[in-house]
Amino acid sequence: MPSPLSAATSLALMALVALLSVSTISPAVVDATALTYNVAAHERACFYAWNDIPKKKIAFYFAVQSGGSFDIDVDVRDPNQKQLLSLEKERQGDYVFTGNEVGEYSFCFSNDMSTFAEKTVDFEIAVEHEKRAAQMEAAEKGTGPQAHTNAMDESLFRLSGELNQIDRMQKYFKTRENRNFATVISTESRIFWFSLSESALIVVMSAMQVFVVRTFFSSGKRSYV
Amino acid sequence: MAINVTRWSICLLVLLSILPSVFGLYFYLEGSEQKCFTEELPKETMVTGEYTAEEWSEEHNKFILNKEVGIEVIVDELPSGNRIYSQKLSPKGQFKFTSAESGQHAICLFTSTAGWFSSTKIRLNLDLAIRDIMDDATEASDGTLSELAQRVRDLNHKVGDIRREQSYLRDHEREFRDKSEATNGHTVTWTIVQLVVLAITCAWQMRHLRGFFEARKMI
Repeated sequence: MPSPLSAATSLALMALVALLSVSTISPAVVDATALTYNVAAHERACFYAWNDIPKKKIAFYFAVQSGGSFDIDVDVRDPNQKQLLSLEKERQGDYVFTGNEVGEYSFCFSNDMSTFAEKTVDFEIAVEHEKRAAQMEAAEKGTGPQAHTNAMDESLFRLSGELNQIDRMQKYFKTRENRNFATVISTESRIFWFSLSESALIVVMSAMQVFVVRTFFSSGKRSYV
Repeated sequence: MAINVTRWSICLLVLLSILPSVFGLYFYLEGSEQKCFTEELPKETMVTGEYTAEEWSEEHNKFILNKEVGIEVIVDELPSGNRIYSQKLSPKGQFKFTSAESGQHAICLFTSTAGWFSSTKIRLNLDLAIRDIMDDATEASDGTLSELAQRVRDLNHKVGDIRREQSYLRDHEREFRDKSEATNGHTVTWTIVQLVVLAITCAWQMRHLRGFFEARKMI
């Protein structure tokens, strides 16, 4: 049976990933790990996340920070090796899957398209901890004025969501800025080399012109004039 | 694809028996394979990494924690290549290091016990946190209040992460602006150089041809 897949690629849908926290060791409501990996040319690097309870949400974010044309092939599979997501030459993406199966979900990056360019990929995989939310609810009922803890809970949750939004936006800007930087470096190098080759071309052309004019007039035949 | 029910249940049983001990991101290392991660770190920042390495054991037919396995962690400063951290550690634990300079750092992990031809397969759970987790050491897990305190602490860390990212972005943007302006300046420089080359070539051409025609008595 097909697992429901909600793709969130545009900026507007970044709000869907409100539950993410950036690399915290102690799990709050999610278990998230963010890493940056260098995928060498023709390399296929895979990372895995374990889903122990069905119907947990798994969030996957990736962005190519540098290298080549800033794109990479992505392949996400569920524990039954069924392909949940298959992308070719994608620059960045933000997806949330519902983990219907229990087991190992694999997230693979493939750099087959590059002959020698290595790509740096920023990625984050988070598995939502529904157990924790239920636990907190049970604990709250026993101690303290419920209204107060609920209000605090609510505002903390909102805060967490807003901070995640800020973090997402920052990541987006960082990726774009890396791209801009690469463009400027490329512009600089292009200006240099093109100017040099144009100057060389001018010199060569004028030498050729002189040579041609000379041959016109020095075959000895005044009749050419 | 049609799969036998009995085969499925066996698969499920095997799967359930190989539950990882820590949830989170993990990856596999074959033999002495090395996996490296890069991190952009500001100056004098402490990074803590928590990891668990399990080895595939043929006899138990699952991944188990083997005390003999050693994990080596190496941290290099990327532009200069300086090694700022190199340690051989036990299969489950933590490593901490502090960055000396700001810039790109490479954090590499591999098994130190496997030889070149070893075929051990290691499952490595990894979590990196760019801050000092000694603050979290005083965790009390009783009652709602501490759970809320925990969440507030997590939010604090998140804010810290955002601030750190912001200051990195600011420095990077300054570099970008300098580079941009330098490139702009170079456009002018190289155009002028080109014009000079053109003028010289022109002058040389004229002089040469005039000399040529004067020699031929045509002018």
